Amino acid sequence: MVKLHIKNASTSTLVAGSGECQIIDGSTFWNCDRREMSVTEFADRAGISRQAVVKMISGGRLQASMVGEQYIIPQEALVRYLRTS
Amino acid sequence: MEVSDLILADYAAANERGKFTLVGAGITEINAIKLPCIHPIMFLMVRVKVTRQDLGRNRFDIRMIGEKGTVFKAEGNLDVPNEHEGEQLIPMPMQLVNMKFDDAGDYSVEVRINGELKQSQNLKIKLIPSPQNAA
Repeated sequence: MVKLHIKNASTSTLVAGSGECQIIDGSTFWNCDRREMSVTEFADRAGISRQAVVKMISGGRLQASMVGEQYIIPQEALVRYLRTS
Repeated sequence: MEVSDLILADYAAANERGKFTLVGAGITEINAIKLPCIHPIMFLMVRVKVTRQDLGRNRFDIRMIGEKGTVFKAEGNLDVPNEHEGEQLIPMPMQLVNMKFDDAGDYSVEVRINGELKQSQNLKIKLIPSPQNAA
């Protein structure tokens, strides 16, 4: 069994040959002026479900833009949400 | 230790017996209607050939580099135990999420083992007119 440890990734260890998939989150490598996040990131930081985030976007209560088929939410929207929730 | 395969795909998975599955394999271009763009998810299948000469700790480095710098870089250790026998091909699927591309142009995914570049795969980011503006 070959063991792979990946640093600077969202997960720390991959056992090669186990069928597990290593996740490398590119957002951790963005420069400090990154201002966008995914629905999942927003949900994690806001402590709510992804469905709730999508519902807020659909209802116009959360600012977001489309990149491809994904919503991208500005950092400021998270700050506003946390202040008002 | 060598890298036998380095493939970008829409989806990749592997089982514990070394068999892997790819869907939408062979990504070489991504079209973006505006920049910077964030590619939410894609997979990178890295398959390494491990032999008894690779026993112990090997340094593993994977990075994506563009014309203006690094998009991401991940480093780690690949440990081959002493009881490893023969030559083994090990697939390692990697899920790349939230890859941000600031500029159009050529990018390269590079895999290094013990500091030596083993494989690279090119990826081109192209800016295309949005459907609304093209009308």
